[in-house]
Amino acid sequence: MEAALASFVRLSSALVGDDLLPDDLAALYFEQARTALADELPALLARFTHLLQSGVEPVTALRQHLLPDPRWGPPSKIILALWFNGGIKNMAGDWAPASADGYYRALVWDVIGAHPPTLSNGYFGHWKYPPEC
Amino acid sequence: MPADHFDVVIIGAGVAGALIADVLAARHVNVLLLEAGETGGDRGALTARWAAATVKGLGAPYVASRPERIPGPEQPATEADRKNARDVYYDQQTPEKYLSTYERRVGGSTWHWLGHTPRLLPNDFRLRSTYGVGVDWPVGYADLEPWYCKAEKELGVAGDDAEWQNVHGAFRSQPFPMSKIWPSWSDELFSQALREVPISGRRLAVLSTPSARNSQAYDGRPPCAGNASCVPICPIGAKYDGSVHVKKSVAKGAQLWEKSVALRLEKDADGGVRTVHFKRWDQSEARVRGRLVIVAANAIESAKLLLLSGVANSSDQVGRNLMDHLQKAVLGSAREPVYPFRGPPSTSGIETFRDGEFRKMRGAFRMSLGNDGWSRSGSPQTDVARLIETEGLFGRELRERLFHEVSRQVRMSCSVEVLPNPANRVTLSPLLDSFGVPRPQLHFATDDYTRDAFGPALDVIQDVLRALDATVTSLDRNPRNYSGAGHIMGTCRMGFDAKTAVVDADCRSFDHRNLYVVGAGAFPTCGTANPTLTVAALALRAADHVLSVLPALAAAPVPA
Repeated sequence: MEAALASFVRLSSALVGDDLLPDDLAALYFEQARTALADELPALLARFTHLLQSGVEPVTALRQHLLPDPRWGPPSKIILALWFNGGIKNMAGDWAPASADGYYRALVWDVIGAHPPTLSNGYFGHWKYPPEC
Repeated sequence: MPADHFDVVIIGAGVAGALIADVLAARHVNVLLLEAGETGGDRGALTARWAAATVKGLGAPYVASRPERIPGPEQPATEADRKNARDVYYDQQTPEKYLSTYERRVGGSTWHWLGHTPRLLPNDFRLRSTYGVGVDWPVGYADLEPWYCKAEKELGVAGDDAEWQNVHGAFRSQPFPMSKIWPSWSDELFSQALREVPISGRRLAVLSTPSARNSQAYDGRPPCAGNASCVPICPIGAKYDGSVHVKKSVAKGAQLWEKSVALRLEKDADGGVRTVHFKRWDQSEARVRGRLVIVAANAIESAKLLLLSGVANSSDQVGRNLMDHLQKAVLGSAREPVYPFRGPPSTSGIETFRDGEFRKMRGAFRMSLGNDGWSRSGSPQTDVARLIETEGLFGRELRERLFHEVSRQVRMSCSVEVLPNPANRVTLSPLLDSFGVPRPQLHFATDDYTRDAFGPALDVIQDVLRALDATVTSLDRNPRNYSGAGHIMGTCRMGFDAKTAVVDADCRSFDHRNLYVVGAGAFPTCGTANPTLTVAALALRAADHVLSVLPALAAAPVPA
């Protein structure tokens, strides 16, 4: 794994609160972030890596140094939303999915106890009962 | 018979046209379905297109393969028009806008309907004689009841026989083809609350909504798997759509000519309407002849075609009395998780206010309970963004808050009756679409009868949400703010005579006895039932009538 991608995965894990992010999705989102945040991403990853190397915990790095910062906060939030929503918000305010797969595997569905629309993997009547969550 | 001569030409391969084609083809009638839209890709490809789409509107799965896009209220002319395709297609100069749209496609708008199939009520057919408003239909509930039963079998309707026997006097002579679609967990919580708490001194019953959605394998289609996406597409075909009967009719010998936009009907010297001029997507023009012609586009396109042709309008009623059910959604937050975004978007409703003496003064309304959270005003993605942007949440804290907030989202909606008003109408716009056809110009305004129904409906919703111990988070009492239901009705109404109506009780034109106009355009009033089941029942009844008149038409000489 190239260093930038590895750094992106570490940052993403801290943002979403999950250390086991799927490699293929990480690669997909990394490419999308690299396109949408061409000017910001390299510096953000370098800053995050520097903080970790300075002994700052990842969550502390986000909470105290990156998210409140006017330079580092906005691109960090875009990456966070990318994982939860499977896409990046465009200028018109719509979520442009990385792909159909990205839309389906967005974290939001599982977190709210649901499933992506058009893909329930369920049986007839499962909606009559609370989900196992 | 020449290749361009048919016994029956049906314009529009939606649910009405497809059902009639199926009945006729089964009796070896030489029938053509002429459809402006295309069959398009298979269901899986359409679903994947929607999942990958940035703007997930009604038309997102169905963007036509034609490079310039087919004209229509859900098909944008350009990428930039994707959000406002309706306004690019409809020509509306009035302050209030007509908000409902349709899909030009083989199978029609049933591709993205919710699938709800309540029947109209007995008093819906006699609004004038019972309540002194609107008009009466030339058919009554008892006349249509056997056809409702047939329509329920054809579409495959799931419902609860005990719940729906004699609701407001609507008797049922036959059981539903399938047992009901199961209510959601949220419905159960509403039902429980309303069993315990009276609303304005009465107990409100929550009924499961009859739906053309399989609760078991039926007619070669699987049971609903709760994919939560009836609108805009069922990915597995558990929900009925018009393509079912298009395929059936073609298997029985009907011909389907897709990508063919009807331009005008031509009247013969004897007054018969037998020639249909049309333009293909490749811009070539042709004509086709039928001993009998059935216009089955939709209430806007059917009226437009008749106006373009100058036929069937001695009553001056073509295009008039455009109706819809006007909706308001109230959003709330429940005390406990209700787990939205699972199962069909709505599975239950409250039918109590669909009829009563109040209809002398104001419209009736039907109420639905949503399983779709706050999706009418946003999406779970919107909630993610809000929690990130405004509250700075991330990681575990974001997950917990997101679950806490979204899992409690509830919606209740009301759909309000609209009276026929001749000033609410479709006319021909001077503006042309990309086929060179005049676009529909729509004139629409609400009246006090409809606006006065919103207040009582919202009062009930507030009381119901209070009974659930839910907090109301979004409620707009401005009666001029509403959404369309996608129920496009009126414009070619049926009636008792040629002076006041376009078609008779059999959907047959008073002016041209070999011309029929079917679909929700024929509705003289709209009641509060989602219209598709009534469209299907009237279409099956019309098909039966067509079969009875075809022998005489076949024996008569046809002008060259």
